[in-house]
Amino acid sequence: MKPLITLEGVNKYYGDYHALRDIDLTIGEGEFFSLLGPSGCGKTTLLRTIAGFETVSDGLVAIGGKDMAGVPANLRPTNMVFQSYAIFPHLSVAENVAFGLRKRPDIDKRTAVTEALSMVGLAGYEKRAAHALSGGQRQRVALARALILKPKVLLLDEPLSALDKKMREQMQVELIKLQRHVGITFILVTHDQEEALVMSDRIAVMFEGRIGQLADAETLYRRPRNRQVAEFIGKMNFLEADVQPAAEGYDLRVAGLGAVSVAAAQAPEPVHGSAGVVGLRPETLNLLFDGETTKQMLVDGQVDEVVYYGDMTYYDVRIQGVEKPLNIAMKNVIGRPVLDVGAPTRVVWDPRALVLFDRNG
Amino acid sequence: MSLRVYTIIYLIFLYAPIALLPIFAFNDATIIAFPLSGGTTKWFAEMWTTKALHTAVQNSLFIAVMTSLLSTLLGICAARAGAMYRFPMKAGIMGFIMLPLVLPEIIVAVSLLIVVVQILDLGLSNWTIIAAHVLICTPFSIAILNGAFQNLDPSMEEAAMDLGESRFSAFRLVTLPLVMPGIIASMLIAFTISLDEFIIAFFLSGSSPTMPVYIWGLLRFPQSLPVVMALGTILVALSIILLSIAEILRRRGMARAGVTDKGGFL
Repeated sequence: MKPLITLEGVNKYYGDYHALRDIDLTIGEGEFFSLLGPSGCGKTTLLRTIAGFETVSDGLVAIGGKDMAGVPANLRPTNMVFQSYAIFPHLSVAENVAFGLRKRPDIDKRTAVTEALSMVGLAGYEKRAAHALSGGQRQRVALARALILKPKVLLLDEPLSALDKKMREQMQVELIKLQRHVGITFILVTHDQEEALVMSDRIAVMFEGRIGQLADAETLYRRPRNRQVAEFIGKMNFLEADVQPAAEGYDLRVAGLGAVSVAAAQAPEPVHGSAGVVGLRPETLNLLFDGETTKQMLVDGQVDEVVYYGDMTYYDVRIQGVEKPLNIAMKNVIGRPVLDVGAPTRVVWDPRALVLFDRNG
Repeated sequence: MSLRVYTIIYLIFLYAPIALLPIFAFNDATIIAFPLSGGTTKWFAEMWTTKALHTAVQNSLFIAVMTSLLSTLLGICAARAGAMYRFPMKAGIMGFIMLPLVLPEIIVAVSLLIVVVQILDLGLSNWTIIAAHVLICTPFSIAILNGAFQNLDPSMEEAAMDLGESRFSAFRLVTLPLVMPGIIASMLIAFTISLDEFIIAFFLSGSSPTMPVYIWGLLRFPQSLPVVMALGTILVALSIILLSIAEILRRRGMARAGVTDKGGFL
C-alpha cells in the first residue's frame, strides 16, 4: 500500500476543548478508509482537517507527500460529499456537477458532466432543477460533483445518514462499487458501525479525539483492543475473570463459566495482574435444544427474555454467578422451537471465541 | 358574527383615511369637504410645475436610495455573521443592533441633532439624514436578511470552496444568488421607510427639506391642501407597489432555496 495521506501528531483545540489528540495516521492510495465513532469523538473534525476547512493547532497533515499547512481547501487535491449534500439549489443538476470545472478550462464540460452523471446512475438528469431531487438523487449529484475533478481523495461526511434504511443499504453497495471503479482513496466518516464494517478496508475507531483502534473490519470485530471498542462495534457479553499467566497464554477462572485456558493471541493487549474481563459475541454462544448433543462446553441457564426477528431469535439467558443475563443470537432453523421466557436451557460456548481484556485497561 | 363586525370596523378605521386621499386628489375644489364637486387632474398638474416640490422629491429620492444601499450592506454583514459564525456575546450584540427598531424616533432625532451640531460641529445636509435613516433602517434590513441567511446551509459556501473557488467567489457564486431576493426586499423596504420618514428628517434637514417635511410646510396654506392630497396619492401607490414587490421577491427566494416560510413582514 502506497501511502497517500500522512497525519503526524495532529492536535486541534477549540479554546480549552481538545478536539483531536495526537492523531498519527497513514491512509493508502486507493484505500476505502473509515473514521468511526460516537458523535463528538472528533471524526468530522479530522475529516475537515484533511479537507482544509479546519487548521491543525499542532502537527503535520500531508497529502501525496506535500505538507498541507497553509493550503486552503480550494487548492487541496481533495473533494468532499457533505452531510447535507450542499447541492446548490439555484442551479440545475448539470450546473451543479460542472461547478468545479469553472477553474478547469482544459476539461470539456459536456462530456465530463455526462460521464460523471452516468457513473452515479443519473444519466439524463442534466436539466433537472436541483431542488426537485429526492434525497438519494441529491447524494448522487454530490458524488458526481466531487468526482468530476478526479481528486486524489474523496471525503464523505456521514453521506448515508439522511437516507432511509433500504436506500442506505443500496448506497453502501454502490459506494463500494464506485470506489473500486474510480480507484481513488475514499475517507468515510460515520457513526454507524455496520456501515463502516461493510464498506471499509480499514477503520479507525475514535473516542474523545483519540484513535481507539485502527484495523480492518474482521480484526476490529473479533479482536477489539479494549472494552470501549468492543462495546461500540456490535454487541458483546462481558464476564469478569481471574487471570493467571500460563506458558502459552492465560489460565482463566471466568464468572459463571468456570476454569478455561486461552491462547495469548486471544488477549489483543497483554493482561497484567489477575483482574480480567472476557468478552463473548452473542453469535458465538448457542443454546442446546432437546435431542442435540455437543462436545463443547455447556452451562445451565434460564431464559430471561426472547426477541424474535424472523431469521434470528435473540435470547437473554441467566446463568448462575453472573448478574447480567447473557445475550445469545440464534439462527432460526427448521426443527428448532422458540423457547418461552422462564424455560430452562443449556448454553453452549467455545473457549476459542473468548476475547480477554485487562479489567483496568 | 361579532368578530366579523369587529374586523370590518377595524379595516374601515385603518383604510378609510387613506382611501380619502385619491378621492380628494381628483376633487375639483380647494376645500377638503363633502359633497364632491366634480373630477379634475389639475392638482397633479400643479404639482408638476412646483419647483420647490421637485427639489424636495429629489432630496428624498437621493436619501432613500443611499439609505437603502447602506443599510442593506450593513444588514448583509450582520446577518451573515449572525447566521454563520459563533462569537461571544452574540445574542447581546444582535439585540443592541435591533434596538433602534423600538426606540422612539423623536429621541433618536433629538440626540442625533445634538451629536451632529453640538459635538461633531457639522452642518446639516442630506448626509446627516442619510446617517440617521441608516440607523433606523438597518434593523429592518437585518430582520429580512436574517431570514435569508439562516435558511442557508452553511455547507454551501464550503462546498463551493471545496470545488476550487476562493472564499469571496464562493460567496459571490453561491451565497449571493441565494440571498438576492432578501437583498432586494431589504433595499425596497429601507427605501420606503426612508422616503416617507418625517421626524428625523424634520430635525436633521438643512436648508433644503425632504418631501415629507415639505408637505408638512404646505399644510399652513389651505389652498395647497389638494396638491398634498395628489402627492399623497402617488406616494401611497408607490409604497404599496414597492412593498408588494419586496414580499413577492422574498417568497420567491424562499421557494427557490426550497425552504418553508418563516418570518418576513407581510
